Amino acid sequence: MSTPAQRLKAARGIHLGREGAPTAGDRWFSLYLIGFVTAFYILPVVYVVGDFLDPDFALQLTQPQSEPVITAALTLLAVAALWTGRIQGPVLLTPFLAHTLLGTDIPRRRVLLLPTLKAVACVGMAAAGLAAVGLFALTLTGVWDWDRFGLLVAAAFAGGVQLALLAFLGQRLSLRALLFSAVVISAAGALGLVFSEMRLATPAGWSGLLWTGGAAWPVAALALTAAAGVILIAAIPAALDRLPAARVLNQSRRISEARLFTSTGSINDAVELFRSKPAHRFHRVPVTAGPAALSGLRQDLISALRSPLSLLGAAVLVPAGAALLTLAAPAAGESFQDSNLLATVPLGVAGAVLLFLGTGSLSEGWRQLKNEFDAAALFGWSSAGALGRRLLWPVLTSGVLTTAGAAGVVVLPGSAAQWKEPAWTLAVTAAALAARFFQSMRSRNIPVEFLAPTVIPGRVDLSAVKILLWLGDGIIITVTAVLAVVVLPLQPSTLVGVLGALILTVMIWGWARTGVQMTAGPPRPV
Amino acid sequence: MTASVICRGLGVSAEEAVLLPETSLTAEKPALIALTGANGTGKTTLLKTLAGRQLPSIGECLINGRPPYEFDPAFRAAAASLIDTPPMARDMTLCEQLALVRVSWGEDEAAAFTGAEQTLEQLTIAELGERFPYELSAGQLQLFALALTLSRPFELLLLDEPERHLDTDRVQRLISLLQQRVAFGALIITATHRAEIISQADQQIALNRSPAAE
Repeated sequence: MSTPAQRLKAARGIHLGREGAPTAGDRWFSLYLIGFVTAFYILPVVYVVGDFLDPDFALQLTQPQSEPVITAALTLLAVAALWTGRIQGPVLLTPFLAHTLLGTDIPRRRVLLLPTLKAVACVGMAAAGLAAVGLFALTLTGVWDWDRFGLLVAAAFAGGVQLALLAFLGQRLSLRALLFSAVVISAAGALGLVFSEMRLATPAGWSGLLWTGGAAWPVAALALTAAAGVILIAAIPAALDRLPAARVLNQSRRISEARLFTSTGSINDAVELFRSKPAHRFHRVPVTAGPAALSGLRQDLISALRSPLSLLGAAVLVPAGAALLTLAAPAAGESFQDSNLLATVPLGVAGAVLLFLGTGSLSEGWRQLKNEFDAAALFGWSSAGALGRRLLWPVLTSGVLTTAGAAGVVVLPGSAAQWKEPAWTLAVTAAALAARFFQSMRSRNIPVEFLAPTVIPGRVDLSAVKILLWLGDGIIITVTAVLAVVVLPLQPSTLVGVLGALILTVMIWGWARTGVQMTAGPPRPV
Repeated sequence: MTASVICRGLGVSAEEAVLLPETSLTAEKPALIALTGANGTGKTTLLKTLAGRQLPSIGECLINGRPPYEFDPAFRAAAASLIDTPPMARDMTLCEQLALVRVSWGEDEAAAFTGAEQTLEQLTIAELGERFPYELSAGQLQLFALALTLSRPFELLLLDEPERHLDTDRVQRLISLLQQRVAFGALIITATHRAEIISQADQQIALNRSPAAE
């Protein structure tokens, strides 16, 4: 009888020999692609950005005043990593291997250790790579020397490893423990905004000190804690031995199916895989009682309470997105400065994406709206009434959550945002909801005409661009709205007009796609 | 140790829904046991509980004197199950997948490939060894899922309607294969609706709908 290590090696040997092995062509092509893109695209662009960046502005970014914001952003990342682990942690095998190997009597730690460590290292390297690109541009302005650049990249690697370890915790812990951890980290992050000592208690919060030119010891502390985490995973048998096979298998299956859908362009179906299942609650709540105008609100509220994690996701993502947008808003319009674009555009785009993702679970009721329109025409109900009923919940909750996130930034000590900035953020939320509405109303199948070639002068075919636009229309509309606010040097009244027109157009277009006119009424006897 | 599976007042509920009404049973190896009952009586839930994939709400369940616990390697070595369709490797042939299962249980690679061909032959699909899963019909896929499960050693085998998509001849073949495993000392509990399997089982355990569900 062979040892568990030999059995595992033999099984991996068969798998790598057939299904799992990247071919030499894959490996060399990947290296070639990474080298090519880095040398000819990333480095020149980053160099130009660094050259263009106003040194005073760069200096402002690295002043001690920015330390709480950096620490708060890192804390937000830590909580996001924890929750990401619940959906997709670093412990990942192909579904077939997961099912086969986790069902054997080989200790799970032995099966899972290598893939987990590889995934953790990959996340660390990705974080270091991304950080290196941004830090390279800042270093070119002379705010710090190349030694500090090296320290910060090393800190990004250790911070990335820490994020991956948090994702592992998210995958490993029970839901109750996960919620507790998320609340504790969030509380530490919030207190860190007020009491500077608390920053030392947040994951990777020490990097804030490094950012503002402090001593180099935080890098050592980050590396030590990251290494300690990796050693704990490897050394504590229960860490990987007690990981439920069903969780690993479900995540493997889901990511495998999502990859397949994505590869065929079915992004909506891929996203659908990550929707949480409703819990058995509120079966006996009467949906027809009370005022008819509020029935949609009641139904949507019950649906949301049946999927509390989705609701929690919205309660985190929408205020976070609104806060980022409110931070970016003071740079818009009159106080617009070229160099601020480098900070406000990423902030605005990140805020828009978070906001759009957050509104997803709030606008679940719109999935049924098309059926209600059809039923309205058949049974003589008012289709406008159906729309009114289903608008209440998304509009109310998005408005409240956006206001909460934006107000949080306004009341922060030393914040540049005034009370007019939340108004911008609310307008962007309306644009995000309009994009959601459009997405819910349109068909999920790509129109055939989109597949036809669209050749422009120079014999360039734009059909692939059309398909990409179709797949990402919701995010594209929201990000466009934000860029309109942040980038265009327009007066507030013009921007309100542009945003209003955008929202109106999207709503009318979405409505038209359902095939039901505003004027549709009950069938009349001939 | 004579009693392999003991359930005492075992029941499973999810909030207000009763998935498995209180059930008691004793099963001794070797035996082929048919688990019967109408849809919704809890056959699959019972199998999942015995496989350690579902915690009981009330009562207890013992496999070889210990509760089923997926984190215990000894339990994983003893109990095999085919409850849902298992994941299959898209780019590996049937023989390669079966060989991988066998080497993961300690066979050397050459013997594993020979064993894989024999298993496929026993299930009357020897000619499909070099095919990929996407090239199979529903019945052939079910036979391959059975082959994947039967390729590993076990003392206790839990099957949920293994006759799905199979014709009468293949069901007879399956019964004789299961009886062979019983002859080697295994305990097999299979949920089924097929009269052939029920009639040739050593014991029948009938589950009834809970009074609350009626």
